[in-house]
Amino acid sequence: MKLDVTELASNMLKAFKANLKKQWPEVKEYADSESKKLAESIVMIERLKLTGKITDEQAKLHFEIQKNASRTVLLALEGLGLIAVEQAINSAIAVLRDSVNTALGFPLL
Amino acid sequence: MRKTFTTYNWLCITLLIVYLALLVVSGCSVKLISSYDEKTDNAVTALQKKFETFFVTVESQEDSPECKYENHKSFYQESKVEVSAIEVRARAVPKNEITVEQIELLKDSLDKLEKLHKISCLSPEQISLLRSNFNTSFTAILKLELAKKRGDI
Repeated sequence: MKLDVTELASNMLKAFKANLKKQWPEVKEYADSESKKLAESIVMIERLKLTGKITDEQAKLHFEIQKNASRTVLLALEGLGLIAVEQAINSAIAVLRDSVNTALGFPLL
Repeated sequence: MRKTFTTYNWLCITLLIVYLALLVVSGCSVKLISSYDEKTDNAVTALQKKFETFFVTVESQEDSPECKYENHKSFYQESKVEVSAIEVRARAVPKNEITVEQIELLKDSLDKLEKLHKISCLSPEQISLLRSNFNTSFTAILKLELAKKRGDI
């Protein structure tokens, strides 16, 4: 079965997006570029294997390295998402603090 | 005699709870992930440079005996030591589990790279593939680390 880079990249991007719905606007560009690179890697592994340039064992090792790279990207996206959530929470706390001080007419907090 | 809470008692308790909540809110900010660590940033950046030097060197040794694994053992030994040092430091930083997991994946990839090289010399196509995947990993680790400076996603 011949792998298609565009379809693979699209499927990977969907998987990234599914896990990071709320933070998607912040991480979309990075996820998009990494999905394409990872899809190209998978297609290249397939090509090298089908043309006999690498053995089954070598293909498996390359695929493991590629999988690790994909997981590392997903972890980065998760971390970026956490930072975005943290900033949102702290912004809300700051707004609450300002609202309380304004309502009271003096800086209680 | 049975004590009952008067309206006044409930009002006092409510105000106390609100006051304590406001104290908590005013005194704390939420932190879901570790702070930026410059040493981790520098070490990972240096390691990426080491890997690129290795790939460029092996590429230039295509079809020559120097390409064999035995001539590059020091790269693997030194890289393992450096990855281990980065991992130890990452583990020492609180709320840094994501970066720790990224480093573990990098360590595993390095082991797989070594196994590949032991099988045979790395061809230019293989090096291209490896360079792409390792750079993806390094970029992901650094992207997250830099974002921990807060204010830059």
